[in-house]
Amino acid sequence: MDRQAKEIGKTAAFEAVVSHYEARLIRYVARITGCNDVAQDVVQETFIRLFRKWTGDLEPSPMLSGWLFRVAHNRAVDAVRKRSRQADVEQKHADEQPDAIAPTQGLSGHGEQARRVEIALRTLSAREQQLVILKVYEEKTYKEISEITGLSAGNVGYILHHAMKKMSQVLKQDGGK
Amino acid sequence: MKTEPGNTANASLSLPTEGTGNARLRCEDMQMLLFAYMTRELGDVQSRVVREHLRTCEVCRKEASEIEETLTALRADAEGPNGELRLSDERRERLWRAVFHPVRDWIDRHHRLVAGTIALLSLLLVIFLLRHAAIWKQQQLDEGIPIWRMFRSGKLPELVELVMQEQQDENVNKEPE
Repeated sequence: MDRQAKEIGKTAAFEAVVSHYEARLIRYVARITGCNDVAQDVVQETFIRLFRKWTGDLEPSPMLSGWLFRVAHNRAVDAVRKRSRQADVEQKHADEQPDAIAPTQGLSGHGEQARRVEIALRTLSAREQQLVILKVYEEKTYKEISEITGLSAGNVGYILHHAMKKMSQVLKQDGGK
Repeated sequence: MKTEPGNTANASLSLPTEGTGNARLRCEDMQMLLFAYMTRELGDVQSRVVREHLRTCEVCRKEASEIEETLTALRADAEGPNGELRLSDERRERLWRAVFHPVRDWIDRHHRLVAGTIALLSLLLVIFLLRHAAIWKQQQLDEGIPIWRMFRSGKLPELVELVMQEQQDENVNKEPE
């Protein structure tokens, strides 16, 4: 009886965690992969992994959030690499693809400005993109980003500084055309 | 001195505090902190130092303005890629199945392996049956009428009688020894 109640409690807690994080994770992964469909797969796998591997409390917390973003990011990068390899084989356009980032089909499409931002974002390395997305869109602190990525807070600041400079230049050039 | 990764935090920590002249701050160091300043990563004292520097330094103000523009452009695309920000029903179902019915999920995920194993076992069974069918057939040829036909035609008692007669004959043949 007690065990059954525990199971029901765990199920409810898991459902609550899924509801709490799914939108944020899907948006985050979709920005990295450029595809909502892939993002859904990645997030689904992330939650399965959470249920199987997570040993802490199943309730929203900074630690759980960091864990989810870290796992989702690693899987997203794997998915992007896999797609890149497929694209290489199919189209032989490998040289045109930015570092570890997939083609940009199926991206935002909220108009010209969004397209420019997407292009500028795609000129960054995978690591820079990750940090910009976490900082600007997910509004994580340097400390949280450092927990997700394993980088030091100082390193996070350094990479973000250069990423923003790079993006500024690309947006300036694109705007001047 | 070239700034190395990780120096941002150190730079921010070593910023002069109360009563120190801005002239001592190098623009290069200051620019490293601009993004952190704009995203509220710096403490009160450090933020004040950056603010004061920006008031007097045209070059850093221009740099800050470029970062601000990039941040605004990025934030304008806050919605991110188009698509559902909730797991699709199909994926949600798969997620619950994976979590709460792992055996069924394992079979689903390894359906090729399962199908292959079943096919192999079926093949082995067919081979076994065919082989034994040949043996039974041979026995039928040796012994005359197949036993199942005897059952159907009601001639089983005759067969039993025949077998018993044969045994008696054998016993008689053995007696002289």
